[in-house]
Amino acid sequence: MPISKIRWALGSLAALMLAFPAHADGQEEKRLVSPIVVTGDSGSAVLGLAYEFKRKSSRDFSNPAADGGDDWEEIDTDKLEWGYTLKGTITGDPENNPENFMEFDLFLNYVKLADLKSISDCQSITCDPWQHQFGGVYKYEADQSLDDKQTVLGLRYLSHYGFRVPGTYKTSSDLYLSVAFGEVTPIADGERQQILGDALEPFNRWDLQALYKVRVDQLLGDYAEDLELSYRYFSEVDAPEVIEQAELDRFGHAKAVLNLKNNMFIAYTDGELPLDRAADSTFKLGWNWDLAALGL
Amino acid sequence: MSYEWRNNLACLATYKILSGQNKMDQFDSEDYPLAQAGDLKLKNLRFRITSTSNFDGYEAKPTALMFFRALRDDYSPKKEQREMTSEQFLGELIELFASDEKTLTDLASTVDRFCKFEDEF
Repeated sequence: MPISKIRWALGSLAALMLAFPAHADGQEEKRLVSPIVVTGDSGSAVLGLAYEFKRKSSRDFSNPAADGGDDWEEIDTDKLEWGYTLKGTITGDPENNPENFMEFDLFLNYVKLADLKSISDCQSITCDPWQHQFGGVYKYEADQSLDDKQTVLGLRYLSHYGFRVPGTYKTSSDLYLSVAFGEVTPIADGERQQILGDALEPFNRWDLQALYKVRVDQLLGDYAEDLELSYRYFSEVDAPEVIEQAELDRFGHAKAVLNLKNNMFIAYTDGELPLDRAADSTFKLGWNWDLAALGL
Repeated sequence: MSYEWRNNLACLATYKILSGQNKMDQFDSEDYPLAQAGDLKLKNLRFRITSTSNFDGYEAKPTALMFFRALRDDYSPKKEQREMTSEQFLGELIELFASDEKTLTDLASTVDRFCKFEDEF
């Protein structure tokens, strides 16, 4: 897809948002910091801090005029959301950080949600529809030391499918998909500069992620909650041959997280990210820590 | 004045839908008995994705839809005010499930604000 079309689509989305009353009718804020212990291939343990800060506003355009009845109508949501997310991992020594990745994400999304079926109408695990979200995103990506950095302007599609346990309102497992396509503009990138020279040209990139979340308490016992398996894949479109030969055109990153009770988790990651190119396997044992609970 | 976790239909429905093994099964009632469940944070329920934030809290949306469906099927509440819409109610539910601070008490408060139960007809 030509970049001019991505820019056109993003501009159209922004114009659509501005064409309606500008104030948001919903807001959400998130501040999360998780202390973690990370071990890499070298076997050395690193104490780190994973952080995420987020602010999101939304405006719902689907509110039909109330029909005056007392009964709740079926859901058919059309909504715009916009905001930012800042996330990453900090360790004392950036060189020993196996997750040397920081992202600032500015987004504008169109959200479509459809009503779920009642128990009487849901007799199989595939009775519910996919839920969708589509939008534009502008991201700033950097490694923790800020030596390598780049921006990404693109379009992103998110969807969810829940495999429902018949006769209940719970799912046995959930599948989440994220597909993004955008223009990457390198600001500083030591490895690409070594190969291509000082003139770092923008390039197009696919960013795909699939996440499967499955309940495991029946299988592993009461202390285990669920298992999250995810794989993220980045692929540069029409990469120059020298970039392909240097294996800088494709990156894959797999992650498995076993969530335990009391916010504890065990995680295993393997692979590379675009700005964390040292192929590495890491094992983590950690817990989530809520800043708000400390009054911060 | 802040909402109190108490023995009314809004709190009871919230608790039973979220904890029931044949409902949403989001936490174990043995860990959080009814009287002590009001302070339980929604971010600690089972639906939350913890391994990546690449989905931007997207999991709150299907969870809110499921809660809304269960509430209508099991308790058949009416609108507290005729002008209210399902979209408004769902929007507030999504914000609650996406929040890191909100609790079951906050969820029950929203349910009570939007819904009229049979003991109020």
